[in-house]
Amino acid sequence: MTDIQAVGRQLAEAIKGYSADYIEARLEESQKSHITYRGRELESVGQSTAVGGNIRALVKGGWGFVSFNRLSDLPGRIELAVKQAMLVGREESKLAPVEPIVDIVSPEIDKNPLAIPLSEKKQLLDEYNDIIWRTPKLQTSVIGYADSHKKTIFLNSSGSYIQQERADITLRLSAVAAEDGEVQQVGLSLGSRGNFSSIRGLHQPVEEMARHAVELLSAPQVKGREYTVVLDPVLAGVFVHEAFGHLSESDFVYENDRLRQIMVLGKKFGSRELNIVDSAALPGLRGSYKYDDEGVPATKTYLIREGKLVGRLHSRETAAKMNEAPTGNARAINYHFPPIVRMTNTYIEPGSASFDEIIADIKEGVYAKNWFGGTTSMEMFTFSAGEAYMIRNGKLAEALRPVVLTGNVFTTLNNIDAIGNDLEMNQGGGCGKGGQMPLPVSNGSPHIRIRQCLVGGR
Amino acid sequence: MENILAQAKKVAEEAEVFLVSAEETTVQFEANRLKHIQTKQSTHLALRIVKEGRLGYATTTEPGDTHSLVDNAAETAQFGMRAKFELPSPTTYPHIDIFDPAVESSSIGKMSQLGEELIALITEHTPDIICEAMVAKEIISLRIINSRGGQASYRKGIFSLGIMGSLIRGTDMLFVGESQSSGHPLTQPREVAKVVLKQLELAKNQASVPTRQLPAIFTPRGVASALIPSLMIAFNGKTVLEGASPIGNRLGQPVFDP
Repeated sequence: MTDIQAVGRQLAEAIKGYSADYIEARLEESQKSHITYRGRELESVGQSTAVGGNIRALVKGGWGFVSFNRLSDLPGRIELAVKQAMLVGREESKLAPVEPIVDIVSPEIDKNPLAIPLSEKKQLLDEYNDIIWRTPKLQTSVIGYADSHKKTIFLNSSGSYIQQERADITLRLSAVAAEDGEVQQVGLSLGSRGNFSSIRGLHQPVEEMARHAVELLSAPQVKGREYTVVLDPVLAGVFVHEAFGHLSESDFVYENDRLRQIMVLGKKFGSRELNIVDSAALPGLRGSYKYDDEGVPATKTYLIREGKLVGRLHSRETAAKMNEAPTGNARAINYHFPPIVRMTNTYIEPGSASFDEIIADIKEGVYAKNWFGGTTSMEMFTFSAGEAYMIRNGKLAEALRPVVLTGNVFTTLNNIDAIGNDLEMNQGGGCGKGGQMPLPVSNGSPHIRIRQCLVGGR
Repeated sequence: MENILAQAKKVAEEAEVFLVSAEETTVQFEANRLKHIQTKQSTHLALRIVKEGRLGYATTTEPGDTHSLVDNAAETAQFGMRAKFELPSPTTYPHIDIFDPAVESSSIGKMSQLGEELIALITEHTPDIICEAMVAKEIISLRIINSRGGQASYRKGIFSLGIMGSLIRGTDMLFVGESQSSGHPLTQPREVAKVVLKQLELAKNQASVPTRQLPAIFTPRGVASALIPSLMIAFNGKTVLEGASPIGNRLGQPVFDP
């Protein structure tokens, strides 16, 4: 494979000779593998390697970007990026200042998952698939495993030169049960920052997942109306990421005066107990890193503190244009794309209530667990929960068919009236934005209670 | 490619090499003005083999790295699906002209002008709308060769034009948008704008919806986005074969209310 370090050294010299307000380059080498089962049969298995890079130039506020995986003619590519930026630029370039950084970040993981033989990975997946298929009334299963390892070099015209490595693993399992034309599905979605042992030993959760799919065949459907709803950490984490987190991404806000008024700092969004954070600086999670793809150190950013909006996520450009500090949230999924403002590890901080206390005074409500799917369209969200139970007289009652929750994010944040003490981070997600998906992120929350939440049903 | 095929034939009964190269240039507008020009070059090579009756698959971006590509494909073939088919032998395919050189020669200046015209058509109608727009051209070359002597190749160009606008009043947020793509250069921003202007006109009359069961009328687009994806899964032969389709065993029976 091409030595990207040698190419990096050449580029660091080459970018000095061009006249632009700012130039940066990223180089990347990666290996990936995947195994997919559909039913009992292994449907697809593959391995890939890739090398590539990009140049991004800023001239008078306009950006030029060139990506490539032929590493020849680098001067020509720098020239093209600068020329493109010149065609666009008509104002002043603004980037939040960041000290140049030279660093080689040592890998966090003990073992590259790509170094584990495919046969070992397959054996584990076979064990999980056997468990699913042992369940009576089980109709079929889908299992998708993927891992990757990549090394990146970032350098810019201010003198930064940063080398980082990261590994990533995702495992998605689903069990489909069927009887008399009824079909029910339950899924399990897991991930880790390259640590293969984190997906071992899941035999019991996999068995529970398959059994739950069968139980759903005879479960009732909830009557559609407003309920007091309790979300588990997985669903609450997805809610905070999808419904609120994306509104905190400043590239969405910075050039839109009306959105800036909605997302004005200091505005009250929830109760004093509500604190929402995004932090790539937390170690060992799928959204963690030391530097973002603009070479900015990772931070812990409070988005909501004691119910009030206090921060947002920035690239160097959005921070400069909004006159705020950079947060290190510019990320690119790979070298084909320029970095854009993204979340990392996003979560609601724990409060003081236990789960039993949260449900104690609910006469009739819904407990929604796990995430199955959903969409957000600006301030409106719709999510389907993977599992749901009725809450009756302060106790968990019968299992329900999967429910759909919908609402307005601002109203819903305001209606959160209890926050649990049991924060859990969910590593199974992947985020999509601007054609860049699935970006490794994590999200989390303790159990939360929402008053007057609309639940779709019969 | 021929070298990779020759190396792969040494370890497998059958092999197929697939090369796709693309170059894409996109002119992007943000907040109603030109913001970004991007050029993306990519080359991907894929090797599919049949070894001891099983499929193996690997990809790379480095055509020179034959050894790793063949090794990776061979490792996956230990567990791959049984190959119940044969790769195609040499065949004369009809020539279908799908490449319009005018896509490749569209200039950045012309593409920028097209985006500006499109944004102007929308902002003239609704001055406080904030638009993102993009005009893109992409040239893709593809070649496939196999160990039975079969081969095919083609080149095609895609030109696309799209816009997304957001209009915010109070905490009410409206999203509008439309895009088009073609094998020829698109020259009429008015056609894309027409769809967006209709969305903006429709959004002028807002109604509040009570929370209860109501009859709903789906537009053709509403059907395509809300209902068709679920039906496609239910009608998918693989889903039916696995017994995971709720309509799979109901051939000849009514399944929907006429």
